[in-house]
Amino acid sequence: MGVAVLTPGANAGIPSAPRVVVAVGWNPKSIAGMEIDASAFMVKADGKVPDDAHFVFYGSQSSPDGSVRFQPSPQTGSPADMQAFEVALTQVPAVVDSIDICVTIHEGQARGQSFGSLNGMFARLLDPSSGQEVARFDLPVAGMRETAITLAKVYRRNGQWKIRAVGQGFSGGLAPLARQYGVDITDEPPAPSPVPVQAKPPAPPPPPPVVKPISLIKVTLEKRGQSVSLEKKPGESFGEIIFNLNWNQRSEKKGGLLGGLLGGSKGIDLDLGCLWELEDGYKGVVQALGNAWGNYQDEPFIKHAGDDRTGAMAQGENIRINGDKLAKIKRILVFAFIYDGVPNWAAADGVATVKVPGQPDIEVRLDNPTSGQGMCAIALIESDGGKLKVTKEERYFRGHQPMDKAYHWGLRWAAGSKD
Amino acid sequence: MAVSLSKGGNVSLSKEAPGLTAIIVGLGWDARVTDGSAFDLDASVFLLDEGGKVRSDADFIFYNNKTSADGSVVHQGDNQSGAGEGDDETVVIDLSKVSADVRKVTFSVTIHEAEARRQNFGQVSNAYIRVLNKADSKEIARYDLSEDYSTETAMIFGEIYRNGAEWKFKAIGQGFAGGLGPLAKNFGVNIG
Repeated sequence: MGVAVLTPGANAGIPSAPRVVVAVGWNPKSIAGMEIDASAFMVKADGKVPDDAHFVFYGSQSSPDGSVRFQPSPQTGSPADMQAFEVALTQVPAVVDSIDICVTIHEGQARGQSFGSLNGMFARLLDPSSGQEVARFDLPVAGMRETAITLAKVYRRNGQWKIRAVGQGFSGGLAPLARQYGVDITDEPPAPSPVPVQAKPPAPPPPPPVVKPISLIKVTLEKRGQSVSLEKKPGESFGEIIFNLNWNQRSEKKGGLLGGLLGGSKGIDLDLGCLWELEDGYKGVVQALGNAWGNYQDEPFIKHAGDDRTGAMAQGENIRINGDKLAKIKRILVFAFIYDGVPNWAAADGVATVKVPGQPDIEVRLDNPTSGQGMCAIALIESDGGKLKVTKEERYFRGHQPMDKAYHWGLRWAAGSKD
Repeated sequence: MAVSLSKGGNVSLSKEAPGLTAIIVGLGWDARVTDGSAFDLDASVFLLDEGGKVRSDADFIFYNNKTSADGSVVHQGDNQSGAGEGDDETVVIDLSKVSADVRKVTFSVTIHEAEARRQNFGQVSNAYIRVLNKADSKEIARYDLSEDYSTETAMIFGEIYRNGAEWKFKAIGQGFAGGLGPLAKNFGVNIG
């Protein structure tokens, strides 16, 4: 019998065998500072473990019944196999419906590592009596942001054991993954979350992020991390999306030295810009600084409206996003920067509005400022399939570089001048 | 007791539910709990003539055309009423109103934006489709979509068809490449 080569979602029957070995490996085998652990969750039909003892990993290398055993150094004869589980299929308790084989990157999110950092990852199922490979799954790692995933599952179906390639998981690491299986990881400190959009609320599982239909006239994203998704059916597009930033530009003639120090003697000047990343990995910045105005018709399909004060453009500063090209855009981080003067966000009272034709306006207020930081990441716009997701960030930074770092954008920054 | 069908299996709805005049076809799946794009499954219905084609584009009932011309088929869209507990989408068919030249009614399920989201039925948990008697909401037949058609993104899951005076239901379970557009074209719908 040939090897079943699986793609995500595919399954294959396991020929009757008393025991099988599921080995996992990755490439390159070692990246400095990156630790990958395999684990197995033995779950009931409801997808939860009967108890924590049915979570098998390096810290607990056998299930109570001995049917699933962790092999930190697999004896499979293949040096590519990094870790493995031996499963005595005939001894698996009847209550266990599936053995989910997972891989996690230790503190991946905090260290900026994900499965996308790898060149490859695989799971393969073999019959240890013959060493014969029965099924193999090569995970498509490109672009993955997850740091903890279910790689494959060995499960019962109509009295037969099968294997399914899964490849789904969480950016937030082991904690949300374990929670999904009903295991509470309390001893692991919650990883700092540099990308709040990926932060998951605690159990119970969140409702689908799609908000449809949207009947509100205006959607206000109140809290950091809150998001809204807009969706179009095939054949339609979003048209011209305008990201507007408006703020209090009145010149407050506050008298005296104090007023001057607070930047009140002249109007606050906010510069709107964005970091962008296209699906093909191309990235850059659109902002007035350095005359990086962007391009609407061509890459990056984002244009700073500059000093356009015609009727189409609302007051303040505007960035136009070509919604017809949304499929080519991966993510956009819109920011505002106080170029000179004391960063007084409270006085600026900034309001960002995302205007999409035929959709309610999405409003993001900068109402929680951090003093002394000149840069504000306002909102993250992500294009996913036909969806447009807008997440409130309102995170303050000293400047471009620390913001870039926090969002893992990876641009190189040099001092620039507006003049 | 509902009949759980496997591929190719069929059941006489008229025999299972004597006096049956209207059915509800329910579709359900588990919402995604992992990170990534949500799963959005769409149910579509094709009213087919003897030749296996639609009589006109109006015989293609889906999210943008929710009612057939004769009123026999009504796509309920996203279930928000709570009727047919657990179903995410339902279609109501008044068998007595189905035109005589409609020989069978085919039910398909497609994953919205499957290609862009890199999704397939094998990744959706607990997807099913079931047929209920509208009169008493009792389940007559059920078919599990997620198991055997792993990497498909569009599936003809089943059909009801005339067999003399009775209506029968057959589990088809045939995958279809390319999604809803090519599927509709296959049944003779003019897709712009």
